[in-house]
Amino acid sequence: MINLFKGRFMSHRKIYWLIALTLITVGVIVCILSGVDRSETLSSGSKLIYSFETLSPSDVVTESDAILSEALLNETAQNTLGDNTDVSVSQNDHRFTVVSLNHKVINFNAIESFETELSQKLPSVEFTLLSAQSHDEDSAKSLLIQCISAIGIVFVLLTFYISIKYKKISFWAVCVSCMVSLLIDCLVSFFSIIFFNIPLDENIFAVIIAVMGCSVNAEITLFDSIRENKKFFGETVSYADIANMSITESFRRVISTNVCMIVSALITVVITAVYGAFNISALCVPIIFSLITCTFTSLFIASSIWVSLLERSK
Amino acid sequence: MKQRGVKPWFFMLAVLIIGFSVLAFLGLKGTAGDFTRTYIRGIDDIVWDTASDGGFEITFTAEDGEEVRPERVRDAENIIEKRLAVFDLKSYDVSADLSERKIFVSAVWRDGEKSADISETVRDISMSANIIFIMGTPSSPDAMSDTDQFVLGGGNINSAEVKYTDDTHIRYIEIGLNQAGTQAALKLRSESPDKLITVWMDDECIYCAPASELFNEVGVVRFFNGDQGYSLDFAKRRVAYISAGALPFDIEPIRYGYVAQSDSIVSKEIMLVCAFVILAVICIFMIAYYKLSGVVAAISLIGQSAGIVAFITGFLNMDFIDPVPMSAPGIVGFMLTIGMGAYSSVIVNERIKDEVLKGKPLNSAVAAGCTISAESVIDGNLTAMISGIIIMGLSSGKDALCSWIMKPFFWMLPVVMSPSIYSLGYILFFGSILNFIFGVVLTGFMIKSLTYYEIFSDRSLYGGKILKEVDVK
Repeated sequence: MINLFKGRFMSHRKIYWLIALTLITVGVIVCILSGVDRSETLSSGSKLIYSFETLSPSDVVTESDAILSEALLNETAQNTLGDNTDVSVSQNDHRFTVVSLNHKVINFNAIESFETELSQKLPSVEFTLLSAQSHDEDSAKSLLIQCISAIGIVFVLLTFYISIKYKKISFWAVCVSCMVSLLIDCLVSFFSIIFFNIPLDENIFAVIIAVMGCSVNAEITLFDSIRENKKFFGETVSYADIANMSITESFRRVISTNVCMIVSALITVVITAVYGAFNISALCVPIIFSLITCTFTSLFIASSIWVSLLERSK
Repeated sequence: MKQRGVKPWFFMLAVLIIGFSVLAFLGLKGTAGDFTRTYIRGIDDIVWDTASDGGFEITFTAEDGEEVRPERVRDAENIIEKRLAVFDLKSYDVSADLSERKIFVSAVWRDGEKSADISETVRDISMSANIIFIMGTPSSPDAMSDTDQFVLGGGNINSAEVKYTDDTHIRYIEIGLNQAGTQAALKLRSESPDKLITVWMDDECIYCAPASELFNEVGVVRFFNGDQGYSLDFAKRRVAYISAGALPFDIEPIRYGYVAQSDSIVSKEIMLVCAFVILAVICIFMIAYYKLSGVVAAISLIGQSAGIVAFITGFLNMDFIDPVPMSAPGIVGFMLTIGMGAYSSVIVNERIKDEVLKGKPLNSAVAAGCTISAESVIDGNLTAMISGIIIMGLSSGKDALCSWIMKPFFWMLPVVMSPSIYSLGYILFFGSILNFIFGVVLTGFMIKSLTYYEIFSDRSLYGGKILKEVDVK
């Protein structure tokens, strides 16, 4: 009988837990060191991006002009948009960004005054407003709480659903193992955002929620296999052996399915990065990390916790 | 050769799926003269969100935190919607959160048009547009002297429309008044024909003329702009403002996002390229890895993608079917759904492969593989659907079903609209349903059908080793 169990995965369960613990510790350290960069939608404030173009060919902006214009822009912005504004100019792509951090919405009259004053001070430069974002403190706070709550709700619903579904192989053992592995997936995808310095916004939260729904599939595949083997072998085989056998059986399926999704995400990252659409690439980062992690957590963490809990309760 | 009495399901379904996919991707359009009519919406008819196509999203609330009754918020929502109808926009959406007294407005610029001045657009949307007629020429309605007299108000206006003079075809604006208004107008015309009447929209004097000129013989108001007439755009806007009525309370933006068309157009193309490359790579992978079953999986994946496009565009070009605005997170949703489709195909094919390797006859192995895998695929899709519902609930501030489902969880928080993520939830939810239809039901039919053909009865085509044929009997 024992020859059937090709892998002896459960004899190394402490190593898996150590890996998971190391991942979380490293992630927490990265978070502490780099801090969380929240986008304007989640941290109140305003951001205006303008493009500029000199109207006469003789008006080429030199390096000294650039410093001058940044100072000029800052002065104009502070006069018209408020004291807590800061302007940064990117000469290469002919753009400048106005950021306001006073937690108030910049109204459109102020924007108009800013543009009017600019065109008076720099008549030979044409300005075009490319994008504008402004969010009040209450909305930003509410959106952040909603996003975190939504992750919590998905977390609870998915765990509950899987626990009910596999209650025959112990409701609580499945519940705890599913909870732990989902939590690790979530944390790793969150750490990946921090690591790559991606601004946290509602899109990122939505992507994490979406990928949570997809990453539990690996657990479903594993627990399906465990349930089948448990039914087939009954009490004649230990929990560790059932887990070993189930991991061996579902290993290829979990890898193939997750590879498909990871490849999709990688293709998106490559294409969007080539075209410079980094806003889309950024959305794929948590997906890739979450899927890689869920392959590990579902196969090794979820199964090892399930085995350990059942062995302890025996 | 085919066994007798077996219907060619594979070929029938493959033709249907490919036909449907062609229609969903390319659409169906007819041309009559200069006019092109869309019967079925294709990829070209996808509506993109403001971040992808350029446009704006603004949340308005009552100015200075004024307490407003919910029905007045609804009135303001309707008025803003009527105003937006005359703006040169590709698409727009207005919704209200009655409990929080918020109005959400989102709109996408028309293709190829220069983005409008956002400050001007917001001013146009949020202006009160309160119309009053004053006999006299004050500097503003608030600075009326004792000799100035209020004559008519917005409440007296019944209708407004753009018209042309019969002889010279000059464009003018005609305002119809209610009974009380008409009586007052006729009285003014007969009793004080030479008195100047000024017409005000908020603080702006929009017209000034003697009573005999402003009101015609049947008491209708007419605005002329000399011999050249009004421009069509100006006239349409003014008519929209007059006929929609004044906003019942003053509003101010508390949250906004604006993207100029010039800054957004690139990513739209990239997103489509991404979607097609992902689909192509996964189809190639499936065919290379699972051979014949991989071909079936690829057909199903193409059908599933077409289904998602059909759900996004609305497929049939009918007024009551609204397309869902696509966004960058929506493309990520598409990518995940295709990944989920691949997941279903892998599960089904692996199960079939397992059954084939066990030495079962091909027909039974395929039937058993499809049955066993169905449960896992349903579970996998259900979890994705749960995520989809939560995302849709999180993103929509209006009285949508998903928001209603999420209300018990978010009741203590004010609603914040984030429409860009709606398409992600939408695609995840409907993509999962399609995944089950295409990935399990239709794939099962097609693979089972293929096993009845001698040419396709080689076990190696289904991932099994080349064994001696097991005696079916």
